[in-house]
Order: sequence, then structure tokens, then C-alpha cells
Amino acid sequence: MRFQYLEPTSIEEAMSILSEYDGKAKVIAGGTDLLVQIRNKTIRPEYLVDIGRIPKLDYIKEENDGLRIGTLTTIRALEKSAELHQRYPVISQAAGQLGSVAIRNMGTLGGNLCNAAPSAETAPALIGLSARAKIVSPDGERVVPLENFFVGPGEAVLKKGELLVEIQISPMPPDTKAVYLKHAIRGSIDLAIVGVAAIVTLEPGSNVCKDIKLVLGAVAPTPMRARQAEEIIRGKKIDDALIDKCAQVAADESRPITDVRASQWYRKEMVKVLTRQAIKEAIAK
Amino acid sequence: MTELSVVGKSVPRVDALVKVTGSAKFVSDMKVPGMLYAKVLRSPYPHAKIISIDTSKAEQLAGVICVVTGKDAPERRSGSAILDQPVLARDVVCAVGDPVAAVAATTSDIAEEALDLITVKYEELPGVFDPEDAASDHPTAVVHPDLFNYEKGPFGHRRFDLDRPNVMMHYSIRRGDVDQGFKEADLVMEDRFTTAMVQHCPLELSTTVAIPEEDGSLTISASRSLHQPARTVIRNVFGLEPSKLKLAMNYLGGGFGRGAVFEEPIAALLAMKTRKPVKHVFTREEVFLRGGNRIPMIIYIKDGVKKDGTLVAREMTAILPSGPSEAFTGLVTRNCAFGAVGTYRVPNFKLDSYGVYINGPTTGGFRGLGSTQVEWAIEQHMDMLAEKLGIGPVEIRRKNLLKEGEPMVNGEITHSIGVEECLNKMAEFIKPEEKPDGEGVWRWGKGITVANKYTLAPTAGGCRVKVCADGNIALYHGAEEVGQGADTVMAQIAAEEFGISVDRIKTQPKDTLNSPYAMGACSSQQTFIVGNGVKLACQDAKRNLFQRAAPRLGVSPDELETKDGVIYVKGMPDKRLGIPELFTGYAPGGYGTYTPGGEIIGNATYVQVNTPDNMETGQIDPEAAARGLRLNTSYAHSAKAVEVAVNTETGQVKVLRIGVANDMGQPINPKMCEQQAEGGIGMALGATLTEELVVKEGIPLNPNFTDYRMASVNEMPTLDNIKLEIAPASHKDGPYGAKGFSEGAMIGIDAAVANAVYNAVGVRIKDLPLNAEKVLKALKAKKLS
Amino acid sequence: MKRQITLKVNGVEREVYVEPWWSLAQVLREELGLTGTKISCETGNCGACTVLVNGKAVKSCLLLAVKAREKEILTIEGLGENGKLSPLQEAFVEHFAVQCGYCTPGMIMAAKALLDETPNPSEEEVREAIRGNLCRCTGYVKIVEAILSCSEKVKKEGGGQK
Repeated sequence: MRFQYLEPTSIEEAMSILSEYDGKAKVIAGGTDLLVQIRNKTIRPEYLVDIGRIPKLDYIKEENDGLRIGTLTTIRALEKSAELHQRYPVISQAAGQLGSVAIRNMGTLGGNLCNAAPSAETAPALIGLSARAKIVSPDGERVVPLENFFVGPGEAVLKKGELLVEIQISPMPPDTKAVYLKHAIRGSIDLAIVGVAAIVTLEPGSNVCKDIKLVLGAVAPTPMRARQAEEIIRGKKIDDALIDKCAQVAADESRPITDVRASQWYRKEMVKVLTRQAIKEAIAK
Repeated sequence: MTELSVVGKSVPRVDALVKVTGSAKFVSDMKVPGMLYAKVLRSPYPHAKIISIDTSKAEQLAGVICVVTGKDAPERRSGSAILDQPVLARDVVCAVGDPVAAVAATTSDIAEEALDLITVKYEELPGVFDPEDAASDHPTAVVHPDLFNYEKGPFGHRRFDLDRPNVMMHYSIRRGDVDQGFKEADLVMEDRFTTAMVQHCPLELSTTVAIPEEDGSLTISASRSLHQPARTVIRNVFGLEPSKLKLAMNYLGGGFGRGAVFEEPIAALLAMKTRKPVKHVFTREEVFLRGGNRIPMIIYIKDGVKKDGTLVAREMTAILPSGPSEAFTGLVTRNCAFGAVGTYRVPNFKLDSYGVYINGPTTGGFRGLGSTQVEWAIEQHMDMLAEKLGIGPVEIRRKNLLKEGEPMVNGEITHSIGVEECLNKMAEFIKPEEKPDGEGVWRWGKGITVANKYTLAPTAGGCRVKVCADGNIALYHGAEEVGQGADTVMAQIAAEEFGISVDRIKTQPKDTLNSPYAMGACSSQQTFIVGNGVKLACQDAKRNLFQRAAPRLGVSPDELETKDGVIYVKGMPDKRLGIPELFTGYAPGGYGTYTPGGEIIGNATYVQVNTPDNMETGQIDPEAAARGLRLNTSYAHSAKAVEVAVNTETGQVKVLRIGVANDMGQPINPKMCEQQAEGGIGMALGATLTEELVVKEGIPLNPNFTDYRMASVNEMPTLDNIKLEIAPASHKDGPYGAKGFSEGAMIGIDAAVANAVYNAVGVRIKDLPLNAEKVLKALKAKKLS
Repeated sequence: MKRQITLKVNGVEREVYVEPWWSLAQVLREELGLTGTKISCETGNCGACTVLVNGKAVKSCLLLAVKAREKEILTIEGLGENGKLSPLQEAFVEHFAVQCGYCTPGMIMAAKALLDETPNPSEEEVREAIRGNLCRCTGYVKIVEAILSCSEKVKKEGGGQK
């Protein structure tokens, strides 16, 4: 478990180190995922680049064009943020379902996303809110829809020398409610067997769905949009039968595996249950 | 019975202070000057030949002091009933995790690095993983081809079968004629139940510190229980004389029966080779592989009952798979049968249990010693019978409970059985006749069970007591404090005997050389066995004390009593002598005091004899039984009741309410009894709902706390929904009537949950764990049918 | 290569030489002799390693020691004053919340973090606070009772406890 430990104090320094040691270095923020992987020998980085001392990467701020969250914002801060509770409660809700208090104190949003586990708790809701990832590189910066941020299990879209610095979320459209549900055996302290985020926009004063985003976690190599399921509901009047159909399609669309936590069959069943529940809860709000 | 002043009271635990300040020292906290750190390289294969091992690169790494493999270890193996466990594998590995090489280095980082530099070439062999395959006469693989030539170990049981090369133990109980009984029965049912492999998950990682002493002897501190048996095993492996090996006893961060697999010889070997102290700390994964896990049993049960619920015949077969180290599985194979013996009256009874080797993770001693699994089957079957007969779960049990003085199915005469009152209390708590409803997708249900747990015999527990010049008592005993409160119990008993407060009892450091014998924290025996030893030793000390004091008071010794450090003439409180006044000797020059006539000490060993059972019939000699001899020391009894909510969409089971009623004879410390009752609930709910070491083709898939799910606080009902009751039935030989019950605190909860789930949604889960996936699958299947 | 760092532990600055991959838990135990903090699962699940860093509960087995510089670290050894137990420690003794004692330091630290933030927690809040602390012996019952009893104590004593 030996590595060299580097502590850049600026983004430029961090990017330069990551470029130089590309393929041999890993970024560490909270360390709650990374250190476990290093101990298990799943990964053996020669360099650990700790971005924890880079200033001004820990913030939640509202700007005219929406919300911006710094990559080093802790999961606990997301959970407790009064601002988020008011305007984007689903983000707090999702954050609060990650691990235990101590883990949430240490883990960061950037870490949860860059670790790119298919079951990442913060991903489905953010993808459903059409969040964007601001990535800086030695050549400049780019903004990538979060939906495209995940390439495969444990693999994010970051290239040589790149660093995720911010998550941007546009203001939620009016009459929009969002819910994130996580199904795990012992609740938040366990990895998600299935995660579902439902973001539902209704036509004002009616039960007609103007727009819907359904994002599934832990049932594919990356968090995935259940687009076919969304089509079932989008533009239609929502009733129980339609929700059931939507949930079934979401389950059919999902591509879970069987592993030591759950079988493929059970995961598909839970996609159905959670999708139904999430949409109902969103509408009820 | 005279009024007790200390026993029966919830005095604060004597170890609580050092534990809340973090100053309690566990073996894992030990640091000794010059200490080396050991790491072990283990087999990744369940069954393989070792073709070659190259340790040269590891030996050259700076900081590595010693590297050992099988050829450096003694030829003799360790083991409990069978010497089947090599210190380090020689030509073959028989389980994932079998130790192959070990390193001692100046830092644990270097030791770990050295492991990476050891190259082992393996040739995989077919393995046997299914217990019923292993138990057959033509198994897929034979784990120990030379089994019949293996030396017998110091304790436990073994019984080979020449036709079945993996069977290492076979126990039978025969009473009456089951075939006839089934003919007479109005209803006959048969079923198969299984349990999963469960790990103790003690919080303290297993650690050994082996220290070579100047005089050539060895002192070992290990996070384990059963120090005396371990001493015998380790001594045997190295051919050490009794005085050359000492095991020091420390606080243990959780016992639950771990350590049946003896890995201390590895650190001992390194210590002897390097002549330096060696510390070997297990990783969490190693604890999962080498802890000696709870045996995943297969139980076949066939019951015959009359229309009114009276049991007529019961036939059971149990198969107990063990990893390649038998490690108490032979003992559990025999003793699990007592789970079927201790509670019910069954006129015709047949039981066969088989211990078999497979190429799997180690199994061994685990809280309940097999009774839990056997009763998992019985207590569900009782409900199934009751339902078919149209009678209630409480009624069918009441009908068949043993009574005081009745013979059990092995001939032992029932004594001290509070199960009926336990059952009544739980029936009142849960009211099973009132079927609950549910709300939304949740359906509620209730379940009730009874349980028993024996404490084994023969066994013994000694104690030595010294009266100090200030009237305090120095207490020497070998009971192991594994968190259950043994130190407090012994101190309370001593305090009661001397009529003083518990803080005046000074428990002395323990080790196998200096402390009186105790088998250890096994079979819930220490309160009964060592407790009696303490009581007797105190009485012996008082005899000596009074002999010393009598002449000074002008009376005979049997006219004296003591309280609060003062000796009184009975009935004449003014005629008294303070204990310090006996210490009147002055050394020349006036330094210190002593008692003329030597130290005032007491010595005793309580020996629990038994009358033995026949391995082929399980029966004890009826004449011995009639004379009052027992097979086991005692049985603790209990009843458990739960109300669950089952989510019909997800299959999740939530325990809404739980009640337990325990019979422990006489609570020595009521709050500590509550601790056991509550802890038993936590551990049982974990084993019932979420815990399973998943093993596929001999390979454990989740040997870590991420994917092996111990019960967290979330799995327990809220405070208002946990009900503790006691229904003590005094035991005539237990200290103040007490008997041990900590294992029993866990038994029966799994079946109560299963019964409740059936009551809620009509599906019966016969295979642990009772997880959401199984429930949902069963619900879907039920819907279709 | 080892580097020299200063850790402020229980109010005292301590200089240690550490490898970058050493966790704070390791350094507390091995280099500073503060063995009250325990290492048990090594994967951040059991909470036996819980300490407070700048008043927040963290799993010190997952916190690299080098990351803990310039922070206020509080361990179990830092509770209580002049040999007197803190209210939480006293409560654990009084309420029989201790059995083997291995989870106890982590539990108490997690509870302290809760009570510092939420002086009068509900049972639900206590359960949430110790969700990441596993115990095999107690079934959690008396641990929850002990922690709840401290909320009343705080009420009585008028707030602020160590």
C-alpha cells in the first residue's frame, strides 16, 4: 500500500502533477472510497494527489443561472445545507442516504462522482436535474452533462491532467418535484442495490406530465436514464396504471447484474417498486 | 434462604471504567520492546497441491528477520478432537485461507511487502463443497486422505466411518421406536431446513503476541477464549513441557466462541526462531476465513403427532460441514443434539448427526454450539404441525414441554426448567391469538418459540482467595472476561460470601500458570462452574480465617461469621475482631505486617462430574440418572416472541416488537442479564435477516464488513418495543441457584421471526438468512399457485 | 519516505514521523500510544476508529494521518477532566452500555459529536448518529439509553459538556 503523497495548493499545480504522472496517480479528497480500494489492492497508485488543500473548492452557491457546488463540498454539507433543503431538496435527500454521519463528514461530492460507482448515491438525482460537470484541464475547461460523465464502472470521463471542479445545476422548472430513493439491505450504510431518481414536471394545475426524468443507479455499468420509461409518461395524464407501466418498462430497460448483494431478478423487481414509489411521491409533494 | 446483599443486585460492572476511558488494554493494543510484526500468506484456492514455494526474495528484503513455511514448522498438527491442522501447509492446501508461509519483520509494512515477494506455485485439485456430497460414500474429493491415521486430539469427539472418507464424527440418539411411533401418529410431516455460515464478527481483530522468555519458555497473549484448551493444543504441537508455555489472559473484544482454529502456533514458531516477541494481527478478512465460523447446518426433521398435538415420534438428521480443520465441529456434532433433547417430551426419538469435512472456510465454536440451528428446524416444525392440526402455537408447545423430574430423550432427568413460565410470559406479551393486520404494502405477523441451551459437563473451575491485611480480598480465578461480565459475577459472589462490597474484591491478573483452572468462556459455563469454585474457595478461606480468629475471641471457629471486614461471634455483635487485627506480626525493624501462621487463603476447585452418554444411542445409564447424575451441567430455557412487518413489494422483513423471557436460575446481576438478553437479540436478528458468508465453490465472496452485514442499530426495534422478562427456575447445584444462559439468549429468535413471517404473509422460509429476496420470491410463487 | 508532521491531539501538539499511507488511527495507536481508538474492519464500516476532527465525527482508519495536520483531533482519551469522567462516559457506566468495550470509545465519540450538535436528540436521531458504529455484544439498547440520558443531563446542567 505504498505511495507518494502530493499536496498541490492550486488547481494548476494539481493538473500539472496529474499530467506528469498520468496513469500512475489518483486524486484523493475524502479518501473513503479510495483508501479501501488501495487496501484491497484493487488499485495500486504510485502517487496520491490530495486536492484537499486547494482553496475555494468547497461551496454551495446560488447564481443567476442556477446552483453551483464545489467539488470538495462534503456529503454532510449537502445533507445539511439550508439552501439545498429549500430549493433542491432532492440533493440533500440523496446525500443523507449515503453511508453514516462520519462517512458523510469525510466524503465529497467530487469524490462520489469521480469514483464512478454505478451505485453512487448523488448521481441519479443530479443527472435528473440535468446537472453539468465543469472539468478543468491544462488546455482550458469544458462542461460536460453529468449524464455523460460516467464511462463505465469506476471510470469517469476525465482525461489526462483533468480535474472535476464544480457541478452546475440549472434552476428547476416550476411545478417540478424530485425524489431519490435508495434500496439497500440495512439502509444508508449499505451500498445501493438499486437507486431511483424521479424528477417530474407537471402542467400547472393538472396531472399531466410535462416532463419527466428517471435515472437509475446500480443497475447498469453507469447510472442510466430510463428513457423508454420516461416516454411512457411524458406528455400524458398520470394515473396509477400508467405509473405501473412506466415502472415495468424501467425494469425492462435496466441492465443489472447478479452479485453478492442481490440477484439480477431482484434488482429488476426493485427498479419497478422504486420507480413506482418515486413517481408517486414526487406527484404527491 | 438468607437474604442476599450483593448477588442479585445490579452492581456496576467492575470493568466499565477502564473501558469507557479507552484505557482497557486488549491484546491488539499490546506493544513490547523489540517486537516483530508477523504477516501470513494464505492459499487463494480451496484445494490445491503446493508445487513449490520460493521465499528467497522475501528473505532478502531489508527488515525481514524470518520467513517460515511448512517445512520449518513442527510435524505435529494442532486440532481439538483430531490433529488435522498443520501450523503451515505442507504439500497441500485444503481451504481458501490455509496458511502457507509467514514473515516476521521489524515493521508491519515490511512484513506485508515481504508477502508480495513470496512465490507459490499451486496445482488446483477438485474440491468438495456440498456437505451432502462430502458425506456420501463417493464424494467429489477427499479432504484428508489419511484421516484414519490422524492422531486423536485433546478434546471433543470423533467417530469415523470407513465407507465415508470425509465424515469425522457421527452421533446418534435412539429412544423407543420411531417407525412404530409414526404409525400411531395422526399426522406426520417431514421437512428440510438449512442455516447459513455466520461469523462471530468480534470487534477486536484476532491477535497473537508470542514472547520468548529468558528461561526458554514461551508466553503467549492471544485474543481468544479457551486459554487452557489452547495451551494444551499449542504445547502439544511444539512438544513443550507444561511449565514451558504460559497463556496470559486479557480483556477480549468479543468472544462468541471464536478461535476454535488455532493460529497461535504461527506467531509462536516465529518467536521461537527469532528469539524475539512477535505480534500477529489478523486482517478482518483473516478473521472471516480462520475464525471458526458458525456451521451452516442441514437439518432433516420428521415429526409424528396426535390430533391433540402430542408428539409421538421425532426423527432428525443433521449434517454439519467443517472446513479442513475439525476445530470443535466434532463437539458440535454431538452437542447440537441437545437442542433437540432439552425442551420436549418425545416418546420415540431418533437422531443422527454427522460432522463432515469440506473444502470451505473454517467452522468451529459459535455461540449456541449447534443448538441454534437444530432448534431453528424444530421450532418452525412445531408451528407447521400446529397449523395443520388447527391448534395454536402456544398450545402445541405447552402440551409437549418437559416437566421437572421427567426423563429427557437421552435419559437425563429434567431439573430446573422454567420454560413454561417463559412461554406464558411471552404469550401474554405477543398475544398470538390476535392476528395483526397491516397497512399499505406492509403485512404484520406474530411468532413465538421456546428454546433451550445446555451447559456441558464434565468440566471444572477453580479459585484461590487471599484475605488481605485491610480486609480486602485478592481473588484468583481463570474465568475469561470476554465482555459478558464474568469478572463482575465472580467479584459479586466473593463479595457476597465475605459480606463486603464488590469494590473490595481485587481480581488478580490471569494466566494459565498462575490462575486456577477454568475451561474458559465456553458453553455458558463460567457463572455456574467458576462461580461455584469462587464460592467454595471463599468458604475455605473463611474456615481458615475463623480458625485464626477463634482463639483470640475465645470461641470455636464455627461460631464465627464475617461482614464488612470484621469477624463477629454469631448473635453477639459486640464480640468482634477486625481482620487487620489478625495481621499482627511485625518484621524486625517494624517494616510491614504479616499474619503469624502464614497467609489466610482459600482454595477450591468445583468439579462438575457427569455420567457419560453412549455415542451410538445417546443414552446415559438409567441407574446413574436415578441417583441424580446428569449428562450436562444444566439447561437454560427461554421463550421468544416477535411481531414483524413484511413488505409485500420488496420482501423486506422489519421486526416491530420483540420479547424474550429467559430462565437463568438466579440472576447474579440483573442488569448484566439484560445485557445478554439484548445482545442475544442483536446477534440473532443479524443471523436471521442479513448475515451470510457467501461461499461459492469454496471461495468466500464477502469476507469483509462492507458486504457481510452485521446487525446495526437500525435492525433493532426501538426501545419501547423490546420487552425483557425473566422466569428463573433455580438450579440446585448452581451458585445461589444460577445457571449460564448467554448462548440461549440468541436461540429461537430466528424461528420466531420465520413463524411471524408465515403468520403475516403465508410463506415459510426454511433456509437462513431470511432475506428480502427469498421472501419476495416466495410471495411471487405463492401468488402464481 | 517518512515525513515529520505535527498533530494536535486532545489539545496537545505532538510531533510524529509518518509514512503517507498511515491512517490517523494507526498513528494514534502506534506512534502516540493512544490505543483507546480501535482498528477493527479497515473498510470504514464499523466505527471503532471514530474520533472527532474539528468537532466532526470521522472514521480515522480512512483518514490519512498527513491529512489531519492543523486540525483539532479529539480521542476518547481526551474526554473527562482531572480523572473525572465526562457525562457520556458516566452514562455508559451507569446504564450498563459497556460489555466487551471494544466499540465503546468509537460509540462515545460518535455520541459526543451528536450531542455537541443536537443537545436534545430524539431516539431516532441517536440511532442515526450511531448507525455507522457496529456493536456485537449489546444489541445497542443500553447504548441508546445511555446517550439519551445525556440529553437530559445537558438540560439539567445548562449546556456545554466535554
